[in-house]
Amino acid sequence: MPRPTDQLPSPPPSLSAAHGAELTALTEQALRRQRRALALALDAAFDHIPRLLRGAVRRALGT
Amino acid sequence: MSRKSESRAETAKLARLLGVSDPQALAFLEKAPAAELREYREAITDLLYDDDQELLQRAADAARLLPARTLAAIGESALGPLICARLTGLLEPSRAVEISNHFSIDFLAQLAAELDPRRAVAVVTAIATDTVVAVCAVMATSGEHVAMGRFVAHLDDHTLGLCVGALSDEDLLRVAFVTEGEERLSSIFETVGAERAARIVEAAKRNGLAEEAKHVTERLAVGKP
Repeated sequence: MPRPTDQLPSPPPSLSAAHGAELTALTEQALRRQRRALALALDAAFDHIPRLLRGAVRRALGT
Repeated sequence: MSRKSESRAETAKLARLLGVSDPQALAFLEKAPAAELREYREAITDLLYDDDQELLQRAADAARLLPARTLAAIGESALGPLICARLTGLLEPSRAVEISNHFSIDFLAQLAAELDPRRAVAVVTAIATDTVVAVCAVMATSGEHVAMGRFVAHLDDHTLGLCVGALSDEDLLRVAFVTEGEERLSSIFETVGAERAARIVEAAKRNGLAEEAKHVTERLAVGKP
């Protein structure tokens, strides 16, 4: 299944090509930042989960 | 109504969504029609919320295995406000509220700043009124006026009135500038009353917020029958 970066919305049509590209780049950055935050957050979360439950949580997450 | 001001309000919302700390960096957007910017912002909101949806849903499902207090500790110390905001709409609303009861007000304010309340209406409306007012005050201090503007449509009149009372004139004007929907904007100013509204407009002229005051005044006039 394609990830949404492949489907970034077109910038507002009244923007110049350069400004449209600038806005698209900022959107890509925001998306990457969110993905990085999610990956780091899930890793960090395991340190806070009681050891006895970590296996069950990993299975539920499918990681 | 000034098209430039409408576009400026939309630019501020896009800047917040994209994590651009200085909206002036996006000043080039102010020339675009507000409707185009709004459409783009809504598409980006969907993009950000729908990304990694499956993994987030599995995380929300896994949350059933842990007590609310533990989840709040994990949320505040490991997941952070952005991921907690994305998870909020994926949890059972009663469970999300239960977890939120263990969050600090400061963290709740950060979470609220990242939340699209339309995706968690049942949670937002179930949070205790005094918590909402406390969060509102912290968000104002943090300059999260754009995020606050998103919540106005989802607060009942009583809670909205308490929030309006907790805000300074300047904060209130900044929130009103980006609040969507003329009807809800009118609700804010019905709560404010004519005397305070006049004071807000006067102070705005002195504080470099004349454009915001003019825009809000014009929108209020449009909303009148």
